[in-house]
Amino acid sequence: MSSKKMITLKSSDGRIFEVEEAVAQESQTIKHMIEDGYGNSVIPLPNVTGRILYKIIEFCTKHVAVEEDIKQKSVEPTVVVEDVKQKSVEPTVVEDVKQKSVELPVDDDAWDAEPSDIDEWDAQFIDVDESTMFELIVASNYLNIKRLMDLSAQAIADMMKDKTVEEIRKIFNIQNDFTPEEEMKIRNENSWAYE
Amino acid sequence: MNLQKEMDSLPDAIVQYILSHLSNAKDVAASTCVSKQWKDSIPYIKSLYFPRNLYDNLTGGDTPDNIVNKLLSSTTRLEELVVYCPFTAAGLASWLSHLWPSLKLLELRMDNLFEQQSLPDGPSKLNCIRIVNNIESLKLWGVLIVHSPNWETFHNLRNLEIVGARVEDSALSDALLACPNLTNLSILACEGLKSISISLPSLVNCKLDFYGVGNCSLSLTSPYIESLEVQGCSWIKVLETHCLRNLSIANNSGRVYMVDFGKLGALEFLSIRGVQWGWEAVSKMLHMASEVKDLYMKVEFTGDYDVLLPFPEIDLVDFFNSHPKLEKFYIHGAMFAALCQKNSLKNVDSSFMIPSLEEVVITARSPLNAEQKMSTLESLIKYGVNLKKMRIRILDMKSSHSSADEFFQDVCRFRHFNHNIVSIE
Repeated sequence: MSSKKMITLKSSDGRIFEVEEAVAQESQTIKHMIEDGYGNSVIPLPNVTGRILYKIIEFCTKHVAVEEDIKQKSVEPTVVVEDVKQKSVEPTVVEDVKQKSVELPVDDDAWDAEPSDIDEWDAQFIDVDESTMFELIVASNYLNIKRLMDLSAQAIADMMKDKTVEEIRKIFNIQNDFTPEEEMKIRNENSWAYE
Repeated sequence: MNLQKEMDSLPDAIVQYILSHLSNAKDVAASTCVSKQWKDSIPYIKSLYFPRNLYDNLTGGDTPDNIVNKLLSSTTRLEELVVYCPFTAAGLASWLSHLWPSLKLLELRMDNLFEQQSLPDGPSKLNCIRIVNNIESLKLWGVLIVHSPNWETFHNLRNLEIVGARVEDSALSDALLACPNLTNLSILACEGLKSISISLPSLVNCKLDFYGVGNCSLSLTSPYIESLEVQGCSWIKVLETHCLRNLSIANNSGRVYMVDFGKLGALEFLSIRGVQWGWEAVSKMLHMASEVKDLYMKVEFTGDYDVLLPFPEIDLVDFFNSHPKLEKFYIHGAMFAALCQKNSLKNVDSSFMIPSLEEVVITARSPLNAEQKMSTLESLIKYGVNLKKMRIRILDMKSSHSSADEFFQDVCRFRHFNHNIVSIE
């Protein structure tokens, strides 16, 4: 197995993640940074918490693996854990990484999944609470990961189906900033859409 | 403590992105009332779908056309419009006039199969579609194409699907002339067609299903065609077929008597089905499909005239020698009955093999010639060196004669001796 270039990412709360370059480049934002020459140092992501960055790395890792599987039919799970252990880096970073990499999902089933199962995997991935969904869409917007943006946007939009206006406001904690007269006018315009 | 992210505090661009994934018209319309930010995001909607029963609870003087119009006119970059609820030509014209710059996909339930159309050039739903000249995909349900539509060329149209149509040959032909760059064409449940000549240089997938007495004529000229499914034709001519991988010809009501194809060197899947195929057509088809891997055969009778005749005997050795790549084989009833060794297996070359065959499904409809049929089954196992699975369907055999029971017992015994391969359904 050829040694793959690793990229180091730092979340807003100081957690360090080492990921393969191919995985990191799922984010157009990070990809541009690498192209601009920042790939050899720690890339700070002040807008993304460690908790969300972890999930995003999980998503990108899975999709890179699926794409490679499609290309080559046989995939060797490129397990970050092993690479990290072998790489010689500063002790503190290694410790952080070792800790984090144990947490990283090494799901053997995931590597063997057929491309058609990816939709199911995505559905399970995005099956989270609204707050996490919002954080994911904001982070994937900042990191410019189109596939994840679409997945989260669609999941949030799906939550709105067949809900009344009040229910939507409640679920998403939205303030109604219409005056009663304005609201009445809008409801009359599209009266067929309301209960 | 984690600050809970509220949708309120999401930037406009993200709210717009989320709302652009809404498509049911009812949800979109309701959204305009949630908050100002939401209302202002509606123009960015990409796709709108108006379901069939949208107007069940209409009150007030509004017409369905107007309601759709109001919602559509507030969008600025709609790419997909699907309308299943009723509408008029005038309504459609006014919607499309607003949408034409951005619209890429249009799907309409036309429901005008039985409309009387007096003026060919007059306002009709079909003619209105010319307004959205840039669309890439068009799907029409329940459409009447008896007068040539007043269409200009749809240069970007790649996908055309028609489900449920009543057509006149020349009108359908003219409609297709306006779509020269199609890659996908699907015309299903189509009545009234007698003959059609399709010449589409980019066509890759084509699926045609013609209702009637099964005597339509089809001529197709599309050099890159990869997948073709035809039902209801008796005369088929497709001359450029070097890319054709999947071919399915069926005829539920008429007789297939003429099939004319180019070389079928790339053909992997062939399905021939129907009540009656002329013998020349069957043998020509099987002869040309020599490279095929997956073969499905279910024709009940042969014969070149109205009289339904059984198939002549097909020699098993010759058949498998001429289809050496065959991996999956489905053979039904009358055709299975015709497959036999004649006398060739007594003198068969010791190197005769059916090397690639992995899966066989056999449907036996009658217990006649049981001995020959058992012999065929045994030969398949004997010479099918890589055969993994044989499924025998005999459970709805036609005869209630005692020979049926005997045959069934023979098959069970056969299954018992070859239980790792054979199963009965």
